[in-house]
Amino acid sequence: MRAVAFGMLLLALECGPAAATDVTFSGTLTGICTLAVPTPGTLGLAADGSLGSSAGVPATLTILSVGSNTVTIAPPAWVSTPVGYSAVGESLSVAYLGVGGLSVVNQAYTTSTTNFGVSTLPLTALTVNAKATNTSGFVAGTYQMKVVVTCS
Amino acid sequence: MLLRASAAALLVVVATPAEAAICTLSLPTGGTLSLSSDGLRLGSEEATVPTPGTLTVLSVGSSTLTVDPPVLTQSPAGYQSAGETREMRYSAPLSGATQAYTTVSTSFTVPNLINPVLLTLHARITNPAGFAAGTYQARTVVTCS
Repeated sequence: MRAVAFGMLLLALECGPAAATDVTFSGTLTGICTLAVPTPGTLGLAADGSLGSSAGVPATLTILSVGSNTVTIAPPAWVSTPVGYSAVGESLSVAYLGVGGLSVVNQAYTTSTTNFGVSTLPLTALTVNAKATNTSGFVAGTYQMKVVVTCS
Repeated sequence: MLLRASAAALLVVVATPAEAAICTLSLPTGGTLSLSSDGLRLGSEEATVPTPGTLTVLSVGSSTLTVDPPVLTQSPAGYQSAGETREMRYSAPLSGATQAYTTVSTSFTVPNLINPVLLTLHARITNPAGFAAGTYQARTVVTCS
């Protein structure tokens, strides 16, 4: 009888009181869309006489989207051209290609503004090419063009 | 008579360590989840100023504290949980009480504490599909025994 009593005491003393509690973490995300250009493009003179990034280095644009957004890409515009350059007969066009979550996005060279929809998307790259053709050709000097991309 | 003396001695030996096993957890404060710059992680360390959860631990004698990985208790309708990873890390000014991000329950021994110590917890959820707009809430269970 005593042996049983001591055994029960041992069990009760070895099992100390347990405590448990919850710690919560919370946050609210609002719809956002951010754009960044980690790699600007460079222009080069192609064998067909056009001036574009396909003969240089394409630009890389990154997109981060929370919620549904629309990305709009305008055709290129000159930022600077050398003295003596004539814009008569020129055509400026843009093309882009998505990777990863944007792998379905593939736009051939176009002179028009285009857009595509994105849903929730972690940071994803879009490769952008810009090109200028001119029936009069290109004079020597420095050229700079820009492509305006908006996300809303 | 001899039997009674042996029984009394046994009682003293058993009772000595058991008196110390008392552990309390109190004053839990919640952490805040923010989105990482690449959109892949939602965590309490992703904001410019990290906002961890905290908990006060008091132990009389040696105890074992266990921290479970977080569970998502709320997420918006458009969130795709497939592929997500939920992790927890913590630290406290105690020997052996620093744990890097892990997906499993972890434990450490809490020694006898003269004063309460603060346990700092960070949670993060990683999802290659990103995070839809809306409110997220994660919960972790901390147990001391």
